[in-house]
Amino acid sequence: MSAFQQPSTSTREADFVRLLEDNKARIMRLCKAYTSSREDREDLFQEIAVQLWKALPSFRGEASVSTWMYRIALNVSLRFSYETKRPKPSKERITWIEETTPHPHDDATRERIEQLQRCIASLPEVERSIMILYLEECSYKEISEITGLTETNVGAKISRIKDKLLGCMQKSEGGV
Amino acid sequence: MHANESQEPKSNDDLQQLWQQSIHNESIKLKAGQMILDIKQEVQRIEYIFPSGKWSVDLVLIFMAVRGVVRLFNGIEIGDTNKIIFAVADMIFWSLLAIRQIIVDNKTSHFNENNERGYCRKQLERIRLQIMYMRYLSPFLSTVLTLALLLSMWLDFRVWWALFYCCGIGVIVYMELSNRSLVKEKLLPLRDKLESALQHLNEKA
Repeated sequence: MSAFQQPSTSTREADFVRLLEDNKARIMRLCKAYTSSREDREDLFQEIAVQLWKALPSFRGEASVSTWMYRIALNVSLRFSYETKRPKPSKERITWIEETTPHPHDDATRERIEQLQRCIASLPEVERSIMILYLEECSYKEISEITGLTETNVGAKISRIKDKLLGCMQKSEGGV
Repeated sequence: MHANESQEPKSNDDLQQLWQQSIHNESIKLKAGQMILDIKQEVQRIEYIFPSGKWSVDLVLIFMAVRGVVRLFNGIEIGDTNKIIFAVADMIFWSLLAIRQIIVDNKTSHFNENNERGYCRKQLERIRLQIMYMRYLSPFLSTVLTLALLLSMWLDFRVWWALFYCCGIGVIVYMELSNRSLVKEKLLPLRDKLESALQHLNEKA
């Protein structure tokens, strides 16, 4: 990923495509946590891609690529969730994302994935951001850099949110 | 990846695994060429609607305003009323655009765009100035141009010129109506969005 440290115009497109190709599932999972429909999810993905493209030349490698990417993606997602609370003007549909059927899971796994997604969607926005970063296996240091919280605070919050999430999952399982 | 990963119960690993199973890289296909094209167009559209202040543009506008002054003196020297009217309109039009451009440049150039707050504050300032331009300055400039055209028609009426001027006035009115809908549909929602984002970033800080 060191190529991102000194982006030139000639390599910008290649860097950008590689960045998105490597991280498209991560970004899409994030989009799914902040939206309720496929259209909104694709719109959010598009908006994150535009912001990453715009920010790429100013990326100086002070943070890791994933920290930089998550910081932008989360800020765009939060802005997007504010925006979707008001009626949106009609927008042209994008044509460059194709979502195919995910890996075949058995019914029980699929049900648990859906429960997890529902429980994450029910969290307040800031808690949701922290939990998504945790589930994406970001270190506490990275989460702290992305969210601006101290590492100790991140640890405490994650522990609390995890309990909440597991409780929600168990409740859902009990309800099924 | 976590510092205390070894101490965490298995259920947490399960959660991470479960979460990452939900969407895989292989289940998403990106059409890279189309994506780059769309993104470039989107960025260009944003730059077109909300141009950033640039010194080259300032210079061009100042040059046009000075040209208006020269044409005014030229019109007075010849005694051509029509020339004087258009030179005055020209001068007012380009001077105000130059002043506006310099204000945008001064008010937005000092923000540090390398952090999210700086970026949001800069964009918010640009949008606010753009809204002010479209609500107040643009209608004023359109009025000046329309009055110049009407006055010129009244002073020296020729059918073909009158038809040509009427088309010009039609274009001005159309542009003003487009500006109104642009403010309502794009700029105001974008301003609200940026204000919310900035508020959120301030709370987080």
